Amino acid sequence: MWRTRSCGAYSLLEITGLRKSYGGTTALDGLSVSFAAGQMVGIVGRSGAGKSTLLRCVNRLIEPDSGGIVYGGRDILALRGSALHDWRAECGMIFQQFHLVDRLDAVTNVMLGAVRRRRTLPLLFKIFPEADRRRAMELLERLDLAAQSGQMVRTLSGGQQQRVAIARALMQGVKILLADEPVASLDPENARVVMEALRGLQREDGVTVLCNLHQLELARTYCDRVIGLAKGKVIFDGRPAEMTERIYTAAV
Amino acid sequence: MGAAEDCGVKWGLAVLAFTAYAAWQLGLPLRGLGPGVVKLFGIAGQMLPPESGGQLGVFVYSLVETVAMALAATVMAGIAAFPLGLLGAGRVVPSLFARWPLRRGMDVARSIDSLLWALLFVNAVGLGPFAGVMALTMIDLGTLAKLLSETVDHASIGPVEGLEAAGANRWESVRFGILPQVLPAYTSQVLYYFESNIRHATILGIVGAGGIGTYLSDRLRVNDWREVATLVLLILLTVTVVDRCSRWARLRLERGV
Ligand SMILES: Nc1ncnc2c1ncn2[C@@H]1O[C@H](COP(=O)(O)OP(=O)(O)OP(=O)(O)O)[C@@H](O)[C@H]1O
Ligand SMILES: [Mg+2]
Repeated sequence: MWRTRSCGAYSLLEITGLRKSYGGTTALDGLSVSFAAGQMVGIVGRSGAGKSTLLRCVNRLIEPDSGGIVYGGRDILALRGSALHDWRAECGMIFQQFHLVDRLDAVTNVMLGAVRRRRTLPLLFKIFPEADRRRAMELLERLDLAAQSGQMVRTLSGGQQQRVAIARALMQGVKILLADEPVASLDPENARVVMEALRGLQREDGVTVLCNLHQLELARTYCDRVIGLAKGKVIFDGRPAEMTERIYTAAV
Repeated sequence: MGAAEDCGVKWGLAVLAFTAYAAWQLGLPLRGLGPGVVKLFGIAGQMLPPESGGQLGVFVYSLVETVAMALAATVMAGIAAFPLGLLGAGRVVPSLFARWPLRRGMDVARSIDSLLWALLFVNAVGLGPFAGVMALTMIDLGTLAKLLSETVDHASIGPVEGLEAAGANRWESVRFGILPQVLPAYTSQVLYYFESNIRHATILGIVGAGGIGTYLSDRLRVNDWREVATLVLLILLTVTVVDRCSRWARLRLERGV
């Protein structure tokens, strides 16, 4: 068993004894881990190890059965109502299947990242402030998607869609980004572009990135720290160089 | 032979036996079928040539009324069913307790036949097209709302999850996560109900609920087959034209305009 270690001066996100089961299946089995600010952390493990469940607990898309999640001294599991929505806006999430609004153009999707800072009523009529539009265009340009800004999202390639999702997260003004297998449905070249973009977020904007990956190789190349999960527990926690295939073959 | 096939054969035999029993019970006069068909041809002969008895203008006017009835009912039902359909969806209103009366209400509205609704409304608001419009509206309201609830519940959860993860509230995630997914299908269903309403509206006149059916039932009663033929041709023409236009619009919609 590997001791949980926090590789930074102080820990930004502390997870303690997190437990979640679905009926009879235990997805998280008293998992404890903490994350330092500004790192890019890869989370690897077999299918069913609990990677997605962990990230979804952090932004409360899933309610854990027990345990604690503390972010910058705030008890995340105690958040309710608009405080919870504020937390979700602060903590971005991108998905393997992108989860954008397919039938809207790229720039509108990005503008929706500001949803928490804008009044609901005008938004429902698709009325966005001009400043948001400009900001969204800047972000798309930064992700090399200026030419696609007016294109319906479903007509974009997977790699382009994932970059729109990253732009939306930037629009949210995220401090921490949860990425659930962001490149699992992309070809190697697009995977590289998206991983570079995530690395850029971490390096240039100081965003803490937690990234579920199933290719150890990607974790080695792009992450500062790797956490291996099996059966809802941490079985490896260290630098990428120390990581071996053992994570996959570890007792299941 | 597999167990599934075995079961199928048993069911098939059971259905056949039941049909035979039902036919015997109803005393279906199979012997009367032959003369009936002959008589039908006779009527077809009496329909030729169609004529309007100098009332073509009246007929066309009543046809316009029929189309107007169908249109009014479709628009009213289309608008009213939208919020009801959303509220009937588990994605929007998770509480089964709150949804149940709404869903059952939709079932009731759509399981009563349009002629029955028409009779009810003729009693309530008097003879004329208004009763017909209300009858069609009730049925469409139930069906469109139910279809929308189901479309919403089968819509992909991805966009909703993406928006919730960005901090969107319930309203915002329904507006952007669900509406863009269901709106094209809904519009297409509304158009389809417009086509179906035209056909229904042509017979509502039989119970006094307005439209061309008023004349049709009248001419049928006095065996004025040549005028019946004119009316039927007019109905055919209208239904065909409306179907064509609406189908064209639906196809364009499905292709994403
Ligand atoms: N909604 C659910 N209902 C029931 N069981 C679930 C649900 N979501 C996850 N599980 C179970 O919880 C366990 C952990 O799932 P999770 O999705 O977190 O794994 P993962 O590490 O993300 O796997 P993958 O690499 O396949 O995405 C699995 O055994 C899975 O079957
Ligand atoms: Mg997963």
